[in-house]
Amino acid sequence: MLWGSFALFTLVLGLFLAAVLVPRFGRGVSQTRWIILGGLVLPLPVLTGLTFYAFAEGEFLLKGAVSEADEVLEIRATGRMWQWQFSYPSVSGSPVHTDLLHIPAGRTVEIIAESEDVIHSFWVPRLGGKIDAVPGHSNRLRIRADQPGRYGGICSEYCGTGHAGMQFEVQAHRQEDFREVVTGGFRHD
Amino acid sequence: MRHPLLLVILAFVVWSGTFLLVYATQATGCSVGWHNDEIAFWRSPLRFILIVLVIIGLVAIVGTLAWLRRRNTLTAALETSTFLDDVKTYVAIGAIFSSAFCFAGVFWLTLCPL
Repeated sequence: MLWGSFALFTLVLGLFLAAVLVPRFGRGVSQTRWIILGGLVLPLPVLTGLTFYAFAEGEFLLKGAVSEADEVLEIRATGRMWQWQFSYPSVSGSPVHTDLLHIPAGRTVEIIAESEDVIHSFWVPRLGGKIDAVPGHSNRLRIRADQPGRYGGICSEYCGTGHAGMQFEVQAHRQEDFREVVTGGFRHD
Repeated sequence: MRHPLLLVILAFVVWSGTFLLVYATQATGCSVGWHNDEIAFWRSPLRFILIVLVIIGLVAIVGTLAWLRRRNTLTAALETSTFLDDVKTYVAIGAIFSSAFCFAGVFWLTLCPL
């Protein structure tokens, strides 16, 4: 994805600079053709590919990634001005974690987003879509980290003066370590 | 008199209304459980309602295009330039393709969290 965007950026900027700096570059192509090629032929396949990739990923998380419902791990994410609290209803003895979300790698996780005050929005850009946390509602979002690692998360709905600092970290652990980490019995870096 | 610039965006205003209606209906339907039953062709009431809304929206945008073209023909002799008429037509055609592309998911995508 990164290299694709780099290639497109280079192509577009290269054409722009060539049109500005190289004498008579592109004069053989009519204005109408420039608009059709640059405005339709170039972006349409890219946008179509990205859209259907997003559709396929969404369907995979909802259906293909799990064979039975109990394979999905539910985690409650509660937003309040200006922090996130994460609790694990299916993991007995787990404390509430503030601004730190532990998930098992290679397993689909269902976030139940709620709010105690105003509308917030749960978003971990590298792990998929985002979902609003609305007071009085429980909205659900599925995410999945294929590899152990750290991922940045942020509130993506303006919620007051502390909104910009309402960030959290997602730590994806190996499945065998996950339970111990969540219950506090495993020290991690 | 209708402002020409407002008519340029008319088709996408209809598109926006369709989007709002489909989004609100999907959220409401998921909340009250319209997606749980199957009424025909292994489809839920929610999917049927969304498909009907999308078809109505598509027809409304095609109708907007037809109305704009008829209006362009009637007013062509009174105007000094047909540039904006052409823009209106192209924008409306764009809105039709955009509708087909954006809303096609109601036919086959999963509608609600499982």
